[in-house]
Amino acid sequence: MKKEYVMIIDLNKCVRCRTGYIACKVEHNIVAHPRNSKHPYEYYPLRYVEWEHGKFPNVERAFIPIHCMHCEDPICIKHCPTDAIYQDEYGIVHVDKNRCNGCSACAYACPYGAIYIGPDGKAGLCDFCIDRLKKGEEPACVENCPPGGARTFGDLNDPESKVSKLVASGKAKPLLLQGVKKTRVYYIPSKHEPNFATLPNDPLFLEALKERNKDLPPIKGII
Amino acid sequence: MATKLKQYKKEGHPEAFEIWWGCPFQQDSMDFLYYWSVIAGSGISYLHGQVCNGDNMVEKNVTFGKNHSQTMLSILADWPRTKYTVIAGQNFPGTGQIHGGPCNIPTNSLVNDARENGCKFVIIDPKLTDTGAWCDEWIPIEPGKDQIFALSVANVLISEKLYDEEFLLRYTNAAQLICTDTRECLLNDKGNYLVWNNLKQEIQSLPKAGKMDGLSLGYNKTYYTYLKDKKIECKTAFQIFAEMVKEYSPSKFSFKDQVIKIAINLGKNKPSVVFSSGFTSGRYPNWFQTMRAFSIVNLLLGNFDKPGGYYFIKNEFNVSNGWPVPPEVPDYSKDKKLVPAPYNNMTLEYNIDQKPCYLKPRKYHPAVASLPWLHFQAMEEGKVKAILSTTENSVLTQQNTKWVRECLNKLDLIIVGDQFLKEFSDWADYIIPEASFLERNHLYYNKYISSDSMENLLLYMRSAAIPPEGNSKPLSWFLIQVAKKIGLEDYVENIDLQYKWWDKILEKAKLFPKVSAKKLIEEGPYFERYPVSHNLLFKPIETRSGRFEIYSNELAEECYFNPKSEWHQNNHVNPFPVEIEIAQPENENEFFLICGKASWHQKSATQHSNYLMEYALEAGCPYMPVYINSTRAKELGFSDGEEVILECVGPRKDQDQCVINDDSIGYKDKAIIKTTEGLHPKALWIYWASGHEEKSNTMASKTKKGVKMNWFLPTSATPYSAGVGKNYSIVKINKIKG
Repeated sequence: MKKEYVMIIDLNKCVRCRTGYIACKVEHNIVAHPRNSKHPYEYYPLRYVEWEHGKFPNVERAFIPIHCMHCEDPICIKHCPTDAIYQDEYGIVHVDKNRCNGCSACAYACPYGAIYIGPDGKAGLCDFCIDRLKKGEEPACVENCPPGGARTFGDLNDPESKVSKLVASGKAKPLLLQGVKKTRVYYIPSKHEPNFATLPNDPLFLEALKERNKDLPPIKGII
Repeated sequence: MATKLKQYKKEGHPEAFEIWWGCPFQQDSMDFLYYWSVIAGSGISYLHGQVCNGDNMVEKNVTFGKNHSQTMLSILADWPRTKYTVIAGQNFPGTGQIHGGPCNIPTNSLVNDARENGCKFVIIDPKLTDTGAWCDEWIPIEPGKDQIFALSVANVLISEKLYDEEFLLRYTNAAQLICTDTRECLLNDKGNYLVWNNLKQEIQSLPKAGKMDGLSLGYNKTYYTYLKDKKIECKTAFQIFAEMVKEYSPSKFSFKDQVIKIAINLGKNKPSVVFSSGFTSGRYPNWFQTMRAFSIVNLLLGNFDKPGGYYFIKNEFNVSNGWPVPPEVPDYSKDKKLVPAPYNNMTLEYNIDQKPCYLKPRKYHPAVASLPWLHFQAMEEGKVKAILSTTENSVLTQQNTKWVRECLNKLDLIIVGDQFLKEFSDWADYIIPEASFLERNHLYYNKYISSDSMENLLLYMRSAAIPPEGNSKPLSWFLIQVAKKIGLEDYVENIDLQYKWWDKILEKAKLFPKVSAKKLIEEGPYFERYPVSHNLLFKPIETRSGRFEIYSNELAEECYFNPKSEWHQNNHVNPFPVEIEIAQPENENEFFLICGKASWHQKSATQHSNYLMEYALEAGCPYMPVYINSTRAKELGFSDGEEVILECVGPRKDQDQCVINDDSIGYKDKAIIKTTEGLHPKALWIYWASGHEEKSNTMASKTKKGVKMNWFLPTSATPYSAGVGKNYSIVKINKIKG
């Protein structure tokens, strides 16, 4: 049976150290962003969505790492005018930089805000560190998540894998936004999110999620 | 540097030149710095150390004694079996600053293990930090009230009889008799502390730790004895403490139910609990007594050397320093009195940090890391004339920046060493491009317990991965060249700081040649593992009573009841952790200005890590805003993102005896505010204490608008423990007019 890679993020274990963010950028040689006049937009494959809910002193601060969910039937593919986005045999979404014209349509279309436009003018996103996977290594964020940490990665089609057991048990849940039916990133909810099941309709979460869209370049070209 | 050293030596004051160092884990061998300072006669100071955890080390020595202090400082615990944890003001899972020093097991794996096993975590902090948000419960303490919180927890533990009586009798001085009127300890004519023996119905000497036959906590009891024919009414230390905490009912807090719940949970889950005031310290002047209160709660719980509690590692490598000794080098201690210094080194007795600690009676505890303000006073007086600073950034990281800079302006010479330019570099007459830890060798030693109930002793070399770039060299190389120019070549000629220095340490620890610097580099770390064992008396308890102290005999005899002590009758050194009030905001638009220690950017190295800076900038640029409680902001008419003026209004000298220099009063700066529900209404909060103003072309320049905490901090120092009040600032906030 062919492999289907999934990642599970345990929000109970995530200690908010931001190591994943840095490991990802280092792994992919994505330069730390000076946010200068030439490219005043953020760009990183992995980001965090944080928001407060409640009133002092009964306050919670939720914290969710977000990156490409490698959705089944991805919305971004439907919006790409140049067929630059594709999904491989493992379900992992990629951008073909040779075909990408940097129009930003995919970035706006993605309900998770997981796509960025880099200073090369091309779209970018998490690709589960495909180059590492080919060498039998885990994605950089998984490997660098401090021991005992929050990330687990593996083949959903392997019944002995930790990921398949967690998904089968119902502990690991997808975050399904805007008509997305299936993702390859799951979360084990914590008490810090108001209600994981209703997050897709939670205005505070959605506002925090969309926060970064202010920083996307405007859509250009044919849509 | 050589010219100045010769000049000062000729003038009879070689100590006019000082070496300041900041971090034992980033810089060149601090052992060598101490050796060098002794042979050159210069001053030396771990200046950053007191800001970091100096008074914490003092308190742990005072309560637990030297042999047991490190565990309590490092919050070394049997985490996988801990059931309930309360920590004050420490962002611990992310920073890894509990459970020992660097490069050991990441803390979060241990706390995650604990959590998997059902441990609940409570954080006490005015701000909902990352830890606060990760924990099961956040108690938004008002700044400065942590002491009362701890005393309230003690109140419940005692009233509900949730304390461990046997532990108190066996290992603490809870049964020690104290004079009711004066609160002085009672001694017999042999100088022994006294207890009541219930079996024999008589007064006797306090027995050694471990023995408890006939001892009683004396709860609700009064005793009488005769000393020098005078009838003395006395009570046990436990009873007096119990009477003291009666006043601290949880009803004093707006979150009274939570205090009760915390105390009950601690009591019911003991000894598998941890109750800690955190690693870093010196937040307000009452922090020493706050830590005393926290420690006493732990003593009530008896959570030591039992599954899930604090754990004292029994085995160790006898690692000291690598100083060469005669005949390899000439005798360097001739005509010089040396006293202990940080990290197993020795130093000259006349050093500014050490001299007050060896007076009779001593003015400060010898375990202080440093006494920073005394250095600045010495600079004002012309007694310190030149400095070499390595891996520290005093121009920005010490309290009361205005005063610090006025003092620095008086110096003849400033030399700054580091891997990256930083704020202090702008002040330097010379900058030394120091080789980084990646470019030189250094031995480290660590010990911890792991989730399989084993003690792990670890020796490893941080070894040169690459040769030093360009003209950079280890700082020690530079100091060796200077030593040769001032006639000290015989002391430095044959020193090899890459291998032999560390081999000497291993030799002293009786590990060489089995373990050598070369082998550690080639083969990796050296481990020894031992099963966990529970024996509190593996080493003597080195307090005056030989027991963990609820009533501190040291504070009583050295300071509080000593008419010769500068701190005579000063409540900061009361043998019991009596409440110490701190200065308060006086008007509606006044707040405590507090800060996170933000370990990301404590050192210039991480300040120049673009990835870390980028994250900071992208995530709302935490180095710029001053956080304010949303409701308070609304009441005052401020909105999120508004630019305001902050002005330091306190604490003033007339408000608090601990304030030494209040030149920061009146300092103003602009700040952007960020509203949050996750902050106590009496506090304003900034992420990183020191801020940035470094001019080199890095992303740090993006944060130049940031508020810099130390400009707003008057200089304060707590009696005896020398806590430097790094959160002790009162500011008022106003709109920008026009």
